[in-house]
Amino acid sequence: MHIVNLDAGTVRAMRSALSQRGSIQPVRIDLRFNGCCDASLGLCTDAVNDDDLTEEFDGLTFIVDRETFRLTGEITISYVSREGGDGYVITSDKAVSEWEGFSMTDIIF
Amino acid sequence: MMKTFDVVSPMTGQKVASYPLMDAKEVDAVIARARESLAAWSGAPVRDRMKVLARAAEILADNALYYAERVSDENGKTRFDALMADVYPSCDIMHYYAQKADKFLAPVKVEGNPMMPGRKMYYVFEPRGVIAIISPWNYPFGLSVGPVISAVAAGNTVVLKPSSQTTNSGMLVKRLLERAGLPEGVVNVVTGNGSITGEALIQSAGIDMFFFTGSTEIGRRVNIKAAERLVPAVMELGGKDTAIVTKNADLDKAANAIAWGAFTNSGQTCIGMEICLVERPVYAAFIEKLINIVKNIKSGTGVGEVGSMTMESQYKIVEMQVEDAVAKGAKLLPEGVLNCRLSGMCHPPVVLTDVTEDMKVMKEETFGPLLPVMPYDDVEDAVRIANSTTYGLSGAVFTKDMEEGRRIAGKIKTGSVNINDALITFAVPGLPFGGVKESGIGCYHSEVGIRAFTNIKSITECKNGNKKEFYQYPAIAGAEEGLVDALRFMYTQSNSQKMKSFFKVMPFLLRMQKEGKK
Repeated sequence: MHIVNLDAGTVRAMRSALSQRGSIQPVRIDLRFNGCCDASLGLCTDAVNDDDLTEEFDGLTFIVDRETFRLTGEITISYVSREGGDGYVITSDKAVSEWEGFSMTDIIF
Repeated sequence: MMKTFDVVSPMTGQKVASYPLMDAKEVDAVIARARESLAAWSGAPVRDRMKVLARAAEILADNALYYAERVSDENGKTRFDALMADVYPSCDIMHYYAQKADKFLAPVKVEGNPMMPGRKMYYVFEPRGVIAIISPWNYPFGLSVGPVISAVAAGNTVVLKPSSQTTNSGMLVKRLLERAGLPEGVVNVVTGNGSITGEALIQSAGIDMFFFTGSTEIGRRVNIKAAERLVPAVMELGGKDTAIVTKNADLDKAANAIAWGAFTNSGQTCIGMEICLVERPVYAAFIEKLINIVKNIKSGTGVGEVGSMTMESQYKIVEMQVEDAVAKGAKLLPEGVLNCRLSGMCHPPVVLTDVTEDMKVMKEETFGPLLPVMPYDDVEDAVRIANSTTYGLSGAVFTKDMEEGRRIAGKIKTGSVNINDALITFAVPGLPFGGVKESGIGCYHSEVGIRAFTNIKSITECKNGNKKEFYQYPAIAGAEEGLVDALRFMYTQSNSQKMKSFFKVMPFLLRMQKEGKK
């Protein structure tokens, strides 16, 4: 079962962000509520829980809880630059909201 | 071949309808249609526009249950919730602007300047142009009708993007208004999700104003895109609204209002009650009354007073907040409330006690049928908690001491507060509705709200017969001294100085008048 997809540029950006913060923890893909009608997927560094699915991708470790993965299906993370800023855009096979991928997010440490 | 998407009932999982997933090219074509219709509609007399609204209110009232059922089909709410909070407020605001739009949009005269006599001065309200309205799925009909008819009454044309989950409701708004006599092309609907169709809409150069209802995160980016083009935008965003119940409250009234304010529409209400703070001496009595109400609420599809949640991701977020609260020591009431799982995405109303401020349910918007209740000892502490979130949408205070109610209401940093009531500010079309902090920018409803859809143009009409004014070239002799005397005369607070200046300025004014006629 494949959990996450990233292109080479996104892997580089994520590796750089993690090493700058000296983080050795996996990156969790989590479900967040943005207020009034809109959920999205976010990123944070976290420890692995019993209920998590784990995947190694090009040296990076990603975790997502089973229930969230049931909602999303395969997840794609892209590092993008737009409107004067950089960040990660996260989309999934079964979008968690109609605005999924519209806004950028960053890794929460 | 055009891509399509399905609208699926959250109650049954069955397809309700299928619509085109519009891309940038298709969105631009719809915007062009709205632009073509603008000249004729903005030139139509306001009274003609008002007639359309009056007729639409009448049609909606005559077919209220039909519309409520269609909303319920795709949103999952009960038919009564749809009738009460989508259909009724829509009838009311259409009727309101049908009665008052001409007064609100009439030119406003202002006082002239004494040094610039013989002029009429006023400002007028002109349509902004093509308005993009992006509406959410929680009140898909009501939250589309409000901004759409405000924009239309002010002479604009509209491109409405309803939530992809509740596209039928957006189509219903368009059809209702056209059935009431609105020319085709004035209200247009683009169908699709936010990330493709919404993105195309905000990237378009053809939009003159945005009106967005939805999350703070998405609203922020819509607002950034609008700001890049210097296009105005009204943002109606999320909330984390608090009810404060003082020891002077009518506890029955408070419990009934707060239960409804928290659980109507399965708690999927931006202005829903999401935190309840109760003064300690009445805390136990209030909880008892609240639980008595909550345990008797009928939840579930078909028979329910509280229907289905709309989105599976939203249901999961509610569960996550419950897990977090329980892990940190919260107690769930009524006892055993989650033992009996309901069908589909129906989540029973849950009261949480023994809550602490570090729990997600106390900090993050829930948008589901959870209500944390916490005692307080000092009202200043209650106000601090109410103001501690990033949001500032609405709130409520319960007390029989109206002075106390107004005092507390004045300290809550929100766009609205109900005293001894919940949610109803939204349903009163004469009250402006909007939030502060991360709950939004600007407002709609009321005289203020309809004018938000206009450009304000100031006009002066000079009819004084002068060929030249005293400040124009060449300056008349003594203009500087005369102007200084005039300023003293007009703005001094001393009567004796006013008299002195009067005798000095009069010769200048007479000369000014004489010179002006030359």
